[in-house]
Amino acid sequence: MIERTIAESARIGADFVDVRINERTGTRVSVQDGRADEIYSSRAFGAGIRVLIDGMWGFASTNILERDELLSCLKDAASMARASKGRALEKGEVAEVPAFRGKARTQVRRDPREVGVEEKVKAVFELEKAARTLDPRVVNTVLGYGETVSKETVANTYGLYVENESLRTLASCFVAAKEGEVRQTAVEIRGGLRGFELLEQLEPEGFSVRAARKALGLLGAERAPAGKFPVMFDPAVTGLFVHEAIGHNAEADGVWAGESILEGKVGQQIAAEGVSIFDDATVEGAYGSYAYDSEGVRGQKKCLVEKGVLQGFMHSLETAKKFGVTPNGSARAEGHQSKPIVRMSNTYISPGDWRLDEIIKDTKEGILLKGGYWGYVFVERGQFTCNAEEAWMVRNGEVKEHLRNVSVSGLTLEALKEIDAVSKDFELKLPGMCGKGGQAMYIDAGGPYLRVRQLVVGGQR
Amino acid sequence: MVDLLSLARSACEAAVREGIEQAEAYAQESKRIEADVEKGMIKSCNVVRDQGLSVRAFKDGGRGFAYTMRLSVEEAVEAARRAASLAKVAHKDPDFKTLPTPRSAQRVEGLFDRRLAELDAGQAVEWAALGIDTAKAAARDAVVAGGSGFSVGRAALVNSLGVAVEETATSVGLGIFSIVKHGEDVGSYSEFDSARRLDDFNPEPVGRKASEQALRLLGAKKVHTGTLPVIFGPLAADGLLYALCSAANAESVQRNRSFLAGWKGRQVASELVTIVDNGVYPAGLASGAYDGEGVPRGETMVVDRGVLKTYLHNSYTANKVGEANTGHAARPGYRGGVGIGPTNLRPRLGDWTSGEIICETAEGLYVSMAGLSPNAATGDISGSVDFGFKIEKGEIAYPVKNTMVGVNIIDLFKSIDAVSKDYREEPGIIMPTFRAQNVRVAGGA
Repeated sequence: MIERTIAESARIGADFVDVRINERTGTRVSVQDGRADEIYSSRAFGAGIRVLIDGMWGFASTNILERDELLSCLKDAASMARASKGRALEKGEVAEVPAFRGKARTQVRRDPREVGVEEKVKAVFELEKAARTLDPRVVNTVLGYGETVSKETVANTYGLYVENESLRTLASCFVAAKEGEVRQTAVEIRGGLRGFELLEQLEPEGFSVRAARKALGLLGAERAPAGKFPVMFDPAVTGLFVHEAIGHNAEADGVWAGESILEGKVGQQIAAEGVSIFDDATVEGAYGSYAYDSEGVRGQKKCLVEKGVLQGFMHSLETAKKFGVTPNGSARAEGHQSKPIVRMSNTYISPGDWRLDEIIKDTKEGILLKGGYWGYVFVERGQFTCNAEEAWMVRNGEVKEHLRNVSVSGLTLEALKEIDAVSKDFELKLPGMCGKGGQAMYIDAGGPYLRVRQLVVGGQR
Repeated sequence: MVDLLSLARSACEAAVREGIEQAEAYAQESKRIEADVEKGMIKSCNVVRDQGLSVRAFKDGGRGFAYTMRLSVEEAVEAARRAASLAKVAHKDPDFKTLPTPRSAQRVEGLFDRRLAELDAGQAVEWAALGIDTAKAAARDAVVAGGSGFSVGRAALVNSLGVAVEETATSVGLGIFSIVKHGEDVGSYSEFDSARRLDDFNPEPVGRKASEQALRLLGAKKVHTGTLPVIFGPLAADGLLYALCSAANAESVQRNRSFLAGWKGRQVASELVTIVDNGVYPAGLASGAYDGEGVPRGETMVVDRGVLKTYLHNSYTANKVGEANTGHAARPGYRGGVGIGPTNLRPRLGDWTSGEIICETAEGLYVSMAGLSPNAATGDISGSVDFGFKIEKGEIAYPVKNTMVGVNIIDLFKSIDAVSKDYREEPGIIMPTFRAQNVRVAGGA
């Protein structure tokens, strides 16, 4: 069906066509306050067709996977490309990739499709119960488990044909605790390109009970101060920082469009010498890993920054052609209704040579942030914001008062140069979804503990 | 054309045949056409046709949910069977009483515009080109991104208690992001216009406004940390009003994870703040005759002179506590479950002009747009002023960068001492300017 559609594309005068067929099935079990009150099943499928005619892109999608419908979708895509004919000052183009047939499938220990829903509910219930019954001040617990199997088949006019089946599982635990008028929450999330073993291997103490203890601990936390401080990140906040501050700026579509502060800076020192940054789609079992991207190019490990010097960007077929480089497999689409755009996979800072206790001891006054909640960046100005789950004051080399959830803000090119301590630790600790251009995509991020000499802390004192 | 009501009815009946007690099916079909703008050019045109059907099945209150992306009787029945089998595995939920029973709603005018349904991609290109041209006219070297688009959709909702409603809807929008660069100095801003019908759509000023504001944001400076009055412009104010009303979600309140739990009947804002949620405003962006469960929408006084009057309910939360259902069930298409959310917020206007509020502020901060979402449990805001200005001697002095705001949202609303009478309006939604006192501002200077 796909190959017939590709063959037909020669007749419409397209310079390039790719067809993606996506099928995605999923199950989600949620136990809240002792009850598995909703179980969710999804079944999504469809095709997305992209054509390039006279330098203009057209895209169309359909949920109906039949030959005639795909041909009709191809015509729609062609008419979309022609709708803006003559408007391109700069034509769309793609790097040519060799004809290639590829096939990949996530290897897991236990395929969740072969596990009954009852067993999933039981496992989730036990984890939730451990958090719920820990302390009477725990007032709300939500333990969610979800699995998604995505099959993506990509073919293009260069003769590429790739089938990729990815299986991801994710478990999250949300806990709210309350004492008097004070209410606090905490979360723990684990996710990977893994099977049901992810859930089976979770121990309450290191997961749901840990979330509950964090929420309970935060009941006594103080409001953070406001102003400029040296700030230390745990691996999760490091992940959030590297994802927001540098990762989005290193997506080549934004760079080409003139929207990134990294435009024209390849080869320049943009970060402190101790900072090396990678985006790596090949980390085994990581949530952001993939065998092939949505253009059928192998997922790869890309060095973005080496010893502080900007090395290059993440690319799609189109940006690779425009920058004159080899495609590095970074174009991903949320599903058949979206076009592939340049995305991160697992983004991290490499470990350094400090120990965390040395960093703390070396800090006269600063704030240690733990747990990455959310973040965003305006890439054109490089202004980023990272929100952390909890924090501590560090005074005279010692960890002191526990602080509530707080955000920090900085300017990418300043902050990267002000990283003055990078620890030996390493953890990817941010499995989840990243949003860009209306599409959500699986990513992970992390790294070591690190210290930035100065960031703005948005506290209330 | 597929008969959505009949298909949803088939799914509902199939679920009930599986031995569950109540069922609900939602079928939807839509088409969206867009033109993308990148680097000041039309980059791509897209057409996305979507269709799908979801089923919620209830057994002793336990819920199973399943969806499919194909509108055929076979697929609908299969989804119904999946939902029913999951409902049987779910735990009993005594808090679930019943799905809604049929109630007729008044028609809401202006949600569907046949002219939009008949447009082709060429029109999306024209609007996108208008956005580019007007942005460039205001700032010749601006890097312009964004896009325009329109959509038309139909949806039907049926439940096993006799609810059977069908609605058609259209929407149209243009968004332009303009970046101006003077060496290393960068100013940027985004503007938009959106509507349900052509008569309410005004794409003409969007590009110009984006570039003009981007130019004003050049030369941003860092500020010193301090405690200042902060003026929230229309979009920033709307974001805060929406955050406050979202926290009135009865599900979050009943689960004890919302900062507004326990605040009904109490002062959550200054007496200058009154917020009406109007889900039936003609042609409103968030309007509809029925909510996501087929309950008639209406007008809800959420905050009256600073006092929180009600929580926002769907049928589950209303039945659980025996309160009236406010008709705020939110359904994000056929792929999502049913939650709760505000609709069109229409705060009461004040006596000041926005110019007077600035003029009467000796030193402060003006926030055009910001990431000020509060922590849902504590109400603490710790966020960046993404687009804002320093106010000195009653005037906008200069744009700011690397500046943050830290404040609890209830403290912020209680400290509001001025609300403007002028406002920005998007269909159904009113956005005045307001000023809050004693806000902690963190700066990088």
